Amino acid sequence: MAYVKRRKFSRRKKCKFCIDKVKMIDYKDYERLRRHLTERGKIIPRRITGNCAKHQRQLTTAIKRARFMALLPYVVE
Amino acid sequence: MNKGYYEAMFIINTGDDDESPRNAVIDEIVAEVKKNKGTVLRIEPLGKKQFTYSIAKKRDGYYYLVYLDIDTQAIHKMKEKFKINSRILREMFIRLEKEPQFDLLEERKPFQDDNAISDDDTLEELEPVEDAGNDEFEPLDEEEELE
Repeated sequence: MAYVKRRKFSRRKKCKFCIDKVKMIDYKDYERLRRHLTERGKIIPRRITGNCAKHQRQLTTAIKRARFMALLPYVVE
Repeated sequence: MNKGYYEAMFIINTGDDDESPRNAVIDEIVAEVKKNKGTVLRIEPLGKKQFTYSIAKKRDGYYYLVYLDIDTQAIHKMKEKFKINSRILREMFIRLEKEPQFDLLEERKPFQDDNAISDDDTLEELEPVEDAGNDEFEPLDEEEELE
């Protein structure tokens, strides 16, 4: 069986926080953080969103802080 | 003494239309800070907000931001105190790297009470993720993975 290389046309995604030059991701900005959650409330991995490593690290702590303060859900049923 | 700047967030659940019981709780917090030789730099009420999950069977609460300059050791002591206080549902202390600059801060708008998810146009650039409860995400091409 020959391995068929699946070539999907895709543009290189850029980190949204780098574009906006966000220095520190704020947990209080939950509307923005919500875009990085799935419908079930899970954090979207950076291979999907294209975030840079630095901002993804900040993002996960910000989301976890916002979850503790009930600004974001832990799970969505 | 290891002093530092902190940002504290509190969720208070007392008094609906009447502000005074909430202000009493804030006064308690300020008194507690003073007792531990700290200074309150700024208090910011963020308004009422619905929780995304219920805390102590409550659905909503009033959010407050308090900026402090206090000894690190005292934070732990204060946390214990606030945990006992039933009117404070949540408290969180975050250490700031440098002194907060309030005059540079733009006016923060208070939380909106509605819990509706605003579907902004900014959402469109993120790829839609189908989330059926499994942990599998669609695998990317090998080439991209290596990049």
